[in-house]
Parts: sequence; structure tokens; C-alpha cells
Amino acid sequence: MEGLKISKELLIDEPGAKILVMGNEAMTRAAIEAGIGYSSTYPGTPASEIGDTLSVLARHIENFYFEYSINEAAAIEGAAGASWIGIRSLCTMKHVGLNVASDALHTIAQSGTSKTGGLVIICASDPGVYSSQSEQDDRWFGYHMMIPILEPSNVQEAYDYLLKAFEISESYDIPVLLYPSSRVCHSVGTIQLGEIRPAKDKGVFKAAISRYVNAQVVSIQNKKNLMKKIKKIKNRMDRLGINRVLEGSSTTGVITSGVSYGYVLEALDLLGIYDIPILKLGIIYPLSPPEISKFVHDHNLEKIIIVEELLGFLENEVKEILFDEGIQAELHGKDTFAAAGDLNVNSVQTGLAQILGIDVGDRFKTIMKKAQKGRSSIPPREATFCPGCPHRATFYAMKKVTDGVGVFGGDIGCNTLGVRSPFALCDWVICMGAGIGIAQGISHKSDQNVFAFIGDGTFFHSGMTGVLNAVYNEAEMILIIMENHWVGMTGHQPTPSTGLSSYREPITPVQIKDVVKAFGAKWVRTVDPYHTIQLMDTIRDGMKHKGFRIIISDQECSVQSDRRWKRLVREKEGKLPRTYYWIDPERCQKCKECLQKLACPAILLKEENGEEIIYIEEPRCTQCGVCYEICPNAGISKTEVNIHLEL
Amino acid sequence: MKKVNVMIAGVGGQGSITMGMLFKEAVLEKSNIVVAGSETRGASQREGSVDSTIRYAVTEEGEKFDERRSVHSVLIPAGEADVYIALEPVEGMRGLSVVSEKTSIILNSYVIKPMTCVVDGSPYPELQTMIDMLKDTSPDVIVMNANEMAREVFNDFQKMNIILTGAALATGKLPFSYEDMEKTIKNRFKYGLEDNLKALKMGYDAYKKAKEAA
Repeated sequence: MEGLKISKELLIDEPGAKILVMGNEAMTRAAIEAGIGYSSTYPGTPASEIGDTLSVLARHIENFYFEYSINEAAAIEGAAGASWIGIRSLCTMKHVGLNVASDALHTIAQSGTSKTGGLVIICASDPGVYSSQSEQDDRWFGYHMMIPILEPSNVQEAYDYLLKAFEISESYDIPVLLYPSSRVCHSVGTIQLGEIRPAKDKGVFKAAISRYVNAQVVSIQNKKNLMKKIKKIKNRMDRLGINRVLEGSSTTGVITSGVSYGYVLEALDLLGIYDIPILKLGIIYPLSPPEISKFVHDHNLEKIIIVEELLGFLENEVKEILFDEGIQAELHGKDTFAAAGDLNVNSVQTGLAQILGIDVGDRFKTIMKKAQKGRSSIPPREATFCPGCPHRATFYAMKKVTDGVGVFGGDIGCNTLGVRSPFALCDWVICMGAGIGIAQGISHKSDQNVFAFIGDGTFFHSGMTGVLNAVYNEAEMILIIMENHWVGMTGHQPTPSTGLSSYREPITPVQIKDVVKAFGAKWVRTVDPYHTIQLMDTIRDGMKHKGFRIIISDQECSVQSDRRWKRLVREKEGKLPRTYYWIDPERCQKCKECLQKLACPAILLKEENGEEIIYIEEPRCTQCGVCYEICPNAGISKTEVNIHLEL
Repeated sequence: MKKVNVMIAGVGGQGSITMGMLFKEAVLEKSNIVVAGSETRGASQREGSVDSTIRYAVTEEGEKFDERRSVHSVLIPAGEADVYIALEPVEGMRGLSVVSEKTSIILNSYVIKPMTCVVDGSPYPELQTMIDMLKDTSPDVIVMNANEMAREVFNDFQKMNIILTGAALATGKLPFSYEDMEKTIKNRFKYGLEDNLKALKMGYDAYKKAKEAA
């Protein structure tokens, strides 16, 4: 496992050594150095690799507890518990995960953490929505929950700020949010290692009603305390040594943070401008009024440009401060830089040039024009199911049986790709668990056939509540639980149905069938989608019944089974029996059922002597056998070869 | 300070992440080079469009590090790619904004049709049309079918990445040596070292040969 090799490097106890890591690994190393004794996560791109690395390393770190939590609410609650008894705790999630955790975190923030066991939350954002359902701007949670937010701009800062975050958390008895964007999480750079502080073994909970029991008087008092803490941080900002100024003599200044800082530097370099002072914020909530006004006064700024991704959060805060301090200046931000989608050097360069009244030049325009011409001359390439993906078989069966007539609730995860051609069986994507939730609402007030899909990771995360609700309220619909035994899309983390613990040791898997039966579901069928014909029969049977019905489509993720297979082949030096599927050109009727209706990426079309030939690209085939099963003309052959015997 | 930028554009599952890591690891021991870069992860890894960027800031001897002139963005600004490796022709067209007259382009001509072409019959552009458009942005274009080379010699498509890594080395624009890359490969891969080194050489030689012919 190549990942493991890199992970183990993160445990090296050689202060001063340099290692090449991705942002997520940098934060992981920093957490290990900080001596965390507790870490919890629900995996989600772009934060997944933090938890994954800790999962692999957990057993090698003394006095350390790690868990893949069922969802972010469970994760934050556990981490807060550990923090309360003096254990440094880390809780990681993606931006939308904070919605799930926020209910608990709002009030945890008011109760506080502890002076010896800081609580740091890493919440990774996804500007440009490369791997999420929405481009949520979590910085506003800073205002809403009153917790400090630190935003790193590169790999080194991701590492530095995590250590700082624990210091702040413990100094002010407050949870601290570290907010790296996907560009930081997934970027690669070098870090210099520091000393590893040993983790604390155990703590003792000391009851304090006036602190932990948030009700009535306590709530008001806790809120007041929290407001005081934020005020203190504002006033002591300079002592924290996180924000900094890059000096310059111009009367136009830039205030920025995170990856936008790098975009500004490179854009100015390309424009040949080196005299603009830049206030680079590391703490983006709260902002410090004295610091902002000092930056403006020190540089006699007449023009302030705020460069940030997503909404005008810093702009809002800065405007408020300027107003309060009675400072008048020309201010640019979201009037120039897009509030939707991510920024990059090009867009920042264009924006800065526009504000500064500079022409970006013909070369830049020609490059962009040619790039635009190139992009417009090619077809789009959307993500689709991998070769052998059991989801493809399930959606194929659904499409065959329903012909796309009905209501199809989609959910988060690989199964979202059911929206793609040729299936188009995903009528909405909202959030984890909303596939079934919205579907059952429709089922009560519509005569359409209502279906919903959900993967097993999502089922445990927030689908169980929806299932229980549907059973209890007798929803009239079919739920397809696509049990592929892994949290697939975010990088194959174990889930309770995998049979692996958070430490990746074998355990007894939770049977989804038992769970839904315990909820009281009556009509429950389990089918292997690789037996696609049987799955179609089961769906047809389900549609003849009434009430809330569940079909569990049970087959392991083909990426995982294929990886295991390839590892075995390497270990056995290829001496393993193997099944080959191939399309017999003599028997193939060119109906294109496999090519266009099943749409497996391993099945291709070529032209030979003016004739179309459909064939299986052998190196890409994972031998799932679904094409063999569904071919209407028996045009696909199956050959079992025992190489070992042939030798 | 000198910036060197490399971009690898491809299809999810082709191996652009691992390939990008090789380019970054190759300079790890060089104290005068700052390396940054990024790989597409998440949903696009499932057969979608992906890219991997590698950016080096090289401080020459006697020069001082200057934050304002270093690399920061993990994405490459317009036209700033020095080496542009397209693992698939259409994906080569998608990332053209980083290409300009100074870019050495390596195009892997192995076609992976997007689902939209297979299922809905949208046309896949002619290879020659795409090559012409690439040549319009930079005259320095080398086309090779590294997948076919990998299939023929190793019966393993994954070697395509190493072959193209060898080709990129042959451009002479990377801030590390052939030996640095050999060492990186030795460190990274547990299996098949001999084959990987062979693939690296194949790509290097094929590029040189194509360059001579051109």
C-alpha cells in the first residue's frame, strides 16, 4: 500500500527533517506533534485524507484514540467530550459536514473546551464545488457560533496553523476552526518537522452544572462568557502573531487570506507590480479593529482591495470596522471578484488590472481566446461509474424495468452519478439522506411510482432516520440501498457494513437488512446486482406490492475488489485462474446494448475496414460479468483460464 | 528566481495523481527548489476530467528568496506551462489555457471517449484537428501513443504514465535529472522496478526520436 509508506513518514521523530506532503497530511502531522489523544471524523472530500492517515497510523501512536464516526454530529460530540476531560482533540470534516455538526457545536462553543485539552475542528471548504453538492461558505459560522477561524494559504501554514489553533483553543477555552480550502488540502509542499508531544492517556470528568448544563440562566451566562472571549482575541490579535503585513509603498492596499493571498502575489508578479502593501490574514474571524485601522493608517491607504473566494465575508467585516473607525476609503471586493466559483491567478490578475486601470495585454487575451476555442471544440467529460461498478448494474436494471418513468430520489455519494446518461435516474441531490426524505414526502401526496437511492455510508450517516420515518409513517415507495461496503466517493473508508474497524481491523459487519427489519420494514429483498436479470425481477416484484419496500443491492465496490485482486496477482506473480469476457464478432448483433445502455467504460467501439466492432478493452475490464449477463444475443463469451495449470 | 510549470491533463483513473507525485518527489532533496502543486481528487476521479499541476520556484546560486516572485498558486497561470502532458487528446484541449508559445507539449494519442460520445453519439473530434489546434498554440508538439507502447511491452496500461514521464524528461525543461527520477521511482514503487525503469527509458528515447524526426 503506497499510502501507508507516506503515512508512516508522518511519525518520524526527527525534528528539523523535511518531508513532502499534501496539505491534509501536513495537518495530520501537526496534530500528531500537538499530542492529540482523540480524533474523530466523517470522511468527505477534500478533508478525507486527514482521517484516513490517522486511521492507518492510529495503532502506532501511543495513547491515541481514533474513530470514523457515523456522522459529523457524533464526531464533534465525541471530540468535545474528550476535550472536556483535558485531552487534546481533533475533529475533521468537509464544509457541509459542519451543518450536521453545527447543532452540537453552537452550544459546545458556549460551554467552552478546556485549558489543557484544546478542541480543533478542521472544516475543509470546496470553492468551485469540485466534490460537493453546494458551495457553502462556512466562515459565516464564525459569526453565528462565535468561534475563531484560521485560514491557511499553503501547506506550511496548514501545518503551522493547526499547532496555533490548539494554543488559541487552550488559551481562550474555546473551540477553534481551521478552514483550509480544497486547494490547500490537495496541494503538495514540504514541511519541516517539529517535536512530537506525547498524547495524554486518560482524563477525569469533573461535573460543573454552571458550565455544561446549558439551560436558562446558564445559557445566558455562557453566551456572555463566549462574547468576552471573542473580544479578548480581537484585542490581543497582534500577540497571536498569525496575521502579517507584506510591506509596500503604494496607497492602494490589499487585504486577503487563504489561497487568494498566493493568487494576489502571482497576479501582481505577472503585472510587474511589487509596491502594493498586503495585509495577509490568517485569523479570518474575528477581525481586529485596531489591526485593520493600523494597516490603513500606516500606509495612508486611499484604495482598499479585498480579495477572497466565495461571499464577501472579509469585505463585510472590514466595512464594519472602517465605518466604526470613521475611515473613508475606496473599497473593492465582490464588485470585481466573483462570489460564486473559485478564483485563480488569471481571474485575480484580470480583477486587479481592472481596479488599477492596467491593460492585461494582448498575449493574455490571445491565450485565453485559443483556450476558449479549444474547449468549445470538444465534448464534455463527466464523471461516470467505474468499470465493474455495481451501481451501474443497479441503475441499468432500474432503467430497464421503469423506462425512467417515476420519481427517483438521488443522494450523496457515487450513486449521484446515476444522473448521468444513459440512466438519468436521479431527480434531485440535496444533502446526505435527503433522497429518501424528500421521496417519502412526495409518496404521501402523489400517485407516481416513487423510488429513492442511497449508499450504505449515507444510510448509516443520516439515512436511517429517514427509513424509520418512512416505515413509521407508511410511505408508499421503494428504497434501493446500494450496499457496496465502502464509503466510495471520498476514498474508500470503512463503514459499519465493511467489516473493518476504524483501525482497519476485522470486526463483525452490521447487516443493513437486520437494521431495517428492526425498524419494522416488512418487504425487504437482497440481490446481487451482478445478477442483473434477477435484480430486474425483484424490482418488478416490488412494484406489484404496496407500502414501504426496500431492495438491498449488495455487491462490493469494484475498485476495492479489483485492487485486492491485482495485489494478489502481483504477490502470486500472475499465477492465478482468471475469467475473461470478450465480445465474439461473429455473434455480436451490434445492438449496442452493452455499449450504450449499460455504458461500461471498458466496452469500446472501433472501426475496422469500414465496419463497426464493439469490443472489451481487456486491461480496463474488472470481470464483473454484467455485460455477459445482459447481452440479448449471447454475443459475449466467457473464458476461464488457469494460467497456473498452463504453466 | 525561475518558475518552472508542468501540467498533466487526463481522465480520472489514468494515473495523473501518482504521476504528479513523482514530479514533486523528484526535487524533494533540492534545497534551492520550492515545489507546489495540486491534483484533482474526489468525484472527477471516476472517469471525469482531472489534472495534476507541478510548480517549481528555482532560486539560482547567490540569489535571495523573494516571496513576491515565488510560486504560490497550485494552478498554473495563463500560458505559463513549460511542459504540458496530455494523457488523452480531448483532455489536452481542455487545459489549453496554460499553454503558450513557450510550452513543450506531449500528447498521448490514446483515445478515451467521453460517455457523451459513446451513449449520445456526440462526435469525438478528429485527432489531426486537435493536433493542429495544439500546434497553433505552441509549435513544439510531440505525439505518441504511450498506452499502445505500454500494452505492447508490458501488457499494463499503468506504465503509460512512466513512459510519458520519461518523455517529459527528454524535453530538458525539468529542474531535475534523469537520475533523480530513477531514484524517485525506486523509492516509490514496491513492485516492478525493472519494468518501470525500462518504461522511463522507452519514453525518453521515443521523445528524442520523434523530436529528431520532426
